[in-house]
Amino acid sequence: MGNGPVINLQTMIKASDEIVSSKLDDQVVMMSIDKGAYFGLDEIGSRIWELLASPRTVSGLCSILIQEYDVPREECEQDILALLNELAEKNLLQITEEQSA
Amino acid sequence: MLQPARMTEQFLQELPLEFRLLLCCLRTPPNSTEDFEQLTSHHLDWDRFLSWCDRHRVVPQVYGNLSGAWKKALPKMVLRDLRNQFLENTKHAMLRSAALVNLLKRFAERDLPVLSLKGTALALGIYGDLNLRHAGDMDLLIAPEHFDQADHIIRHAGYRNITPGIRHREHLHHLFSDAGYVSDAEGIPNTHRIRIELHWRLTNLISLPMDFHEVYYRSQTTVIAGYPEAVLNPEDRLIYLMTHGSEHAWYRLGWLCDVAQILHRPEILDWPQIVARTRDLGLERVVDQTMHLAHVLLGTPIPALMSPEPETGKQTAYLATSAIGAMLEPNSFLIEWKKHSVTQILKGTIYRLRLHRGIRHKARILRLMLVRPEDWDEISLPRPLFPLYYVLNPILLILRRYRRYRRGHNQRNQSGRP
Repeated sequence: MGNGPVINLQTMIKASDEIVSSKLDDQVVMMSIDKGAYFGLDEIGSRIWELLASPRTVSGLCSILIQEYDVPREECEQDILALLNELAEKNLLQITEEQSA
Repeated sequence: MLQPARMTEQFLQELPLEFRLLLCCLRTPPNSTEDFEQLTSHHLDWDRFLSWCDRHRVVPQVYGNLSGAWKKALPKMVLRDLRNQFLENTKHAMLRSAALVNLLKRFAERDLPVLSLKGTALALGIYGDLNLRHAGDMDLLIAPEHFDQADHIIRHAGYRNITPGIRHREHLHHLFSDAGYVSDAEGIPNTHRIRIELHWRLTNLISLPMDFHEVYYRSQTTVIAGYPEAVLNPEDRLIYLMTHGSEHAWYRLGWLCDVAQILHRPEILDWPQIVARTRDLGLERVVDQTMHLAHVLLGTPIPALMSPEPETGKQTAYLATSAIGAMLEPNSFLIEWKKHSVTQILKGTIYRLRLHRGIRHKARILRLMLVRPEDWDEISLPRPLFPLYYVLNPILLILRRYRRYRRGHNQRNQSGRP
């Protein structure tokens, strides 16, 4: 992790507007306009991307995924935070505000 | 509903199986699985099928239309090839979108109005995803008087002007409709190099008297990667796509797929306005040919107002069968027409003359036959002597043909063939 923003469970996030994305079978590929780097998401990642079309907290995002994929909350939160921080580093996410815990 | 002319129906019966399979894969909604299975049960030349998918720039539509059952029916090698091409196209579509946004920002900084034609906006607007349409050149339309500023912006963004004959720019502007640019960025493979066509007129052969400022005033705004992009309004877009495809004899099915895709959502268009405007522009033959081809080849339902008049049947059948000929034959008389034999040049000229009933159109076609901007680079004449190129062009044409004949003759002699 570099000097980019660190996302926690209370961070309000949404998919960045400044990207182009496309569907490939069950996956989503995207590219940040300013960085020009591609990023691919698998089926679950694509679902997360779909949910991030509107702003929501990481915690709220996890609540939906726990129901849909039947995974333990702790495991889900860990995986999601890792993925979202990676997306944020690539300028693919917009942090809209941070809520206090 | 449109009644296909008998002439074209006969033509369709004789189409190669691989082409029929291609058409089957392009129809929306897709043909029944029985049709697909029936066609794939024959012995097919799959290389030919793949090469047609590529040449017609329809890999995204073909791959996007393949259902699970259809994918299973295709040889693995064919499916893998289509998927690889689909992925490459996605990559290029994204790169082109990023390049487009970059350029649009530069135009906005200079307050220069620009419209995007086809490209990303068309892919998103009519297919819903930028990877469901072939990503080729980036087409931009500007006001003719803004050419110098637009040229400056594009060159400063890292593109090289590759337009032949640019030294006689005022004639180029008068006779042709666009200039070409290619990205000079290093480390990018040729296939992903961004190319731009900067248009100062919507079309070339068929002159559409549509003033840029009027078109721009009617334009709509879409958003690409969070950035506003001005695009033609739906009616102008359809008129442009029909005219563009028609003047190129629809040698790429991808253009017809765009029109068919639009016709599948007739509710978003003002049809009486389209009919009135195409009549005013003298585009009845273009419209009849387009509707006929979309219906016959892609099974597209045609809005009642757009059905050809019965008395135009013979003309429409001629234009439609000529277009199908161009789709089938890569070196058809309709493509790069001036490079072929005298018979082919004549055929191509007749096709172009018959596209539009206007005398001015016919005079323009005949005049364009006598110019070749490459000659302006080859033989440097001062501006006042420019009209001499009209005399030089036929002489140079004969010389080039003679040289080509001599080269071929010498090669045959060296290889010992008769």
